[in-house]
Amino acid sequence: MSAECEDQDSILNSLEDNYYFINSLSASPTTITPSIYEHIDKVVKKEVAERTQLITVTQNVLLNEYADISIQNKDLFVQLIKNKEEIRQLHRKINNITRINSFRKLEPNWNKNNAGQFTEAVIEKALAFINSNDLKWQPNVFPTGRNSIQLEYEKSNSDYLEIEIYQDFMTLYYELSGVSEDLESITPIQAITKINEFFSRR
Amino acid sequence: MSFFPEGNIEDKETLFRAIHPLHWNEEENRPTSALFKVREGGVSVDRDGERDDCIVLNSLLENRDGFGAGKINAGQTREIGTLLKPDPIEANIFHSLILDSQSKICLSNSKAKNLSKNLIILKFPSKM
Repeated sequence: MSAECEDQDSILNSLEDNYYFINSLSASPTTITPSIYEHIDKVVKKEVAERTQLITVTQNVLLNEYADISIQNKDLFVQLIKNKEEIRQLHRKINNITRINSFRKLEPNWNKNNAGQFTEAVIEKALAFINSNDLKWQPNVFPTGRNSIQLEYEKSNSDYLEIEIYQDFMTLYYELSGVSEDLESITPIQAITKINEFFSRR
Repeated sequence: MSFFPEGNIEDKETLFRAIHPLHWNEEENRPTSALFKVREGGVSVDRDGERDDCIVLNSLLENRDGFGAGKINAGQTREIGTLLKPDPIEANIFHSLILDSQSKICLSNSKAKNLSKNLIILKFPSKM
């Protein structure tokens, strides 16, 4: 196989998922003419450039966000982003932090059911929990109408776990294989242990 | 039959609850149990008062931009262990409350979760 053919193959392989391009290509890949080759080359270069830029921008955003949320160890961060699931969890963490911060803007009676404004203490407590290095799984986050912030986990088999963070205490409720339990006072460490147990169950 | 705002809520009645957009779980496509967690007074719901769902919805969602709404049977709500209390107000004779029990206003986590599971969605809230 000539070097040019190898180049063409690698270009085509890299375009395997590019359905926009495949849809627009009028000739089949086995009859590539120089003009089509030139077109492919441009598309690939453009795509690679865009993807590289996107990755760089994303990493910069993550790094900045990471600094904003007061975690200083960027070497650890760089190591973390190598893992796909950890990247996903990191994105969720950033979204959760943004969401919790947005609760500050909720005005009295935001739920039309007498909810008060969130206190700074409960916001900070929820942020600290979400931002904990020990929390491997990011939850869905919701404001309640009783000045608490609720964190929820749910599996496809309907197993469910929720944590409610108040200013002075936390509660935990779970449903596992149809059995439920309501714990009225739990520490953050105990909550994280329960979350890890929840995800270790099959 | 005519509706008595102060009358006991019968098991066959339907209760309607407005859903704030922040109380919608996009990932699971359901309301969160946080929807039923309020700090004082109890969980506000509207009785059907022998009205069609559409009429109740129009009235419930007036002045609630972006909110969705769901309904639940009163008997089912009692089976969950909650207390239902008619609470007509000047602006809304259908207004009533879901309380945890005779001695407690705030719903337990399990009761709030069960209510959210049983809520039938009539209108989805707007996306945040």
